[in-house]
Amino acid sequence: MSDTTVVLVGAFALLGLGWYGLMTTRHLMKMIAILQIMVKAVLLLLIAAGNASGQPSLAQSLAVGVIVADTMVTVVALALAVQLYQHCQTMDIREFARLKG
Amino acid sequence: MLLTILLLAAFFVALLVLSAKRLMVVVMALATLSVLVSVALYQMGAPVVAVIELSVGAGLVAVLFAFTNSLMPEQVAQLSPIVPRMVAGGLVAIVVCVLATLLMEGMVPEMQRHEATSFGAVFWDQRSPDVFVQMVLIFAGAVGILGLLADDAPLPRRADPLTSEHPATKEAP
Repeated sequence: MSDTTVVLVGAFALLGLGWYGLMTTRHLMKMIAILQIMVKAVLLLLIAAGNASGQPSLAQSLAVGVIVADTMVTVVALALAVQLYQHCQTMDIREFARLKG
Repeated sequence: MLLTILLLAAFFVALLVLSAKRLMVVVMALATLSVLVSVALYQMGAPVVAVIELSVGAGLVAVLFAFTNSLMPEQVAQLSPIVPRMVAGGLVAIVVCVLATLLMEGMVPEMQRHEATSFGAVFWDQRSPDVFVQMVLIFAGAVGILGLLADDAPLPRRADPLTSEHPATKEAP
């Protein structure tokens, strides 16, 4: 198998694991962690696509943007999780559906 | 070969993130996954992205997760899944089958290693709007965190100097 095929299989395995985890998990902290797994898979795919298309520098600059955006999303999600836990005393996302106002 | 081992290890560490019962194990597994992905990125010829991913993913995000975990119970409560596990597994299997079909049809081009322009030229010159947006994003994220983690208790009101009497200005009887 070529390097590109190996990376594609590995990245899609991580993405599949992430999809499965998001569908079967109700704990908010674990959902944020699973999103991190999926973003890492996307990073691998992005770099592999850049190498395959002959534009590695463009793919790397886009990957840096993805890392920054992902970090900000994670940080805000963690802060929201802290606030929600202080309000509801649980991390079950079904309980958050009852929040109003 | 090294790439295969790294991605295989990353898959098993990701499995550990999904199945762990303690939040600290989830954090450690996530940091390990970040390290493995960073080495894989370096092997693929993207050293700058690997370093940023290593410092941010295994450093900053892991510390933030650990800090957040310290504010809530360590054990993850076992909750019934939203989507039945069989259905979720079936959906993922369909996606994997589609991918395998694409791979067998030979639609994957070979990885190239030629460098047309340097990373610095692309990042700072051609993608300068992206850099500006990233700076705004970081600033907005920091402000958002401060707002979200701010204490809800109102600050004690400061006495108005025009209406209240200062002890030093009181006339002695």
